[in-house]
Amino acid sequence: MSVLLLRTVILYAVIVLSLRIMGKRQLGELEPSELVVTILVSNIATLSIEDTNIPLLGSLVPIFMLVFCEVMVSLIILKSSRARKIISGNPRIVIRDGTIDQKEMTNLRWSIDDLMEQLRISNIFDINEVSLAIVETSGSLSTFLKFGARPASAEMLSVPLPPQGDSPPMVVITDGEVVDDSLNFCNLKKEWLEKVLCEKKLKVSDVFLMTCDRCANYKIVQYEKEQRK
Amino acid sequence: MKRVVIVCVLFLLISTICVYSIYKTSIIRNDVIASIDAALEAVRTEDQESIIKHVQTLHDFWVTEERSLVHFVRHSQVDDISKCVERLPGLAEYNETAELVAELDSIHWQIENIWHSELPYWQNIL
Repeated sequence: MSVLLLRTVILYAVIVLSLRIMGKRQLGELEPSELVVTILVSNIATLSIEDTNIPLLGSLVPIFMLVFCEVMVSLIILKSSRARKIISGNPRIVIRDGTIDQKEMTNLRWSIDDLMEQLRISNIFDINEVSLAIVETSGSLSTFLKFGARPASAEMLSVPLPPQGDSPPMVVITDGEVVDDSLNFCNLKKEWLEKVLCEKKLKVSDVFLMTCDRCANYKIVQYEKEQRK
Repeated sequence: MKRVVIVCVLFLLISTICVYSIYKTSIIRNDVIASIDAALEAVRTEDQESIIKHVQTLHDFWVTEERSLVHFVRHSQVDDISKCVERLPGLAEYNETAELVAELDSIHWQIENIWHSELPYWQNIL
């Protein structure tokens, strides 16, 4: 049993490491080769856990080999558009100028129900609102709405830029620890942070979450008493 | 690029492990077969002391080397050989020649089987 326990821990660490090495592409929308690798890695890892007869290297070597193949294929795809077309395929236009391309739907083996489902997932309930719809190589649907159906933007309504600027708020303290990169992004110094916390009679370790933007607008969420570290 | 370097290092590492597994299996196989051949020669010459000595050498060698072999080979295959090897000293001591030879031949076949299955031949891959 202890052998199983240790193998499980080792393989868990190896899989997490493998996914990190393969990169964020693995964790988002999956390309065909990425899907294959994800399924294979998980199945191979279970071999050594289920059957202690199999040496641990019997799982580790194939997993690392798959990681190597996946990173190399990603590199080839990056450098060669021809390889990209062969391995990942091309995005396909299924709605063009508001008209459904039925031939393309047949090529993709998509039924109208599949199309409507993907549109509803994108919060589009009326197909007449769609000017262009593209099925990406990962299988997801990207849409471009007709002019009349697009949400109004600040520019369209001639809303002027607010005086405080247009920067997103960044998390500068998370779980009682300062995030230096976010502070630098907001062009703020640690001294400013300390001054703000001092005014509120707080320490960094008392803060569960603090966000601020480049105009030094901030929001602080303190730890609840029971959650304090 | 850092990722590419890491996976290239990983690839070198696993290639080294694969080559080492073939090398180690080859060494163990050669030594086991040499011991088996020496024991069989002693059986042929009916030299009881020599039989016991060669069988004991094979036994001691296997007890040490099986620990490294299990890193590369299914444990059940190694255990099967270990079962046969454990019987050898008893068979040699009590002069059970026929069974001793049968066990030595069985060990010979099994170690050859392990060795061949480690090699990257098409019949093994397919």
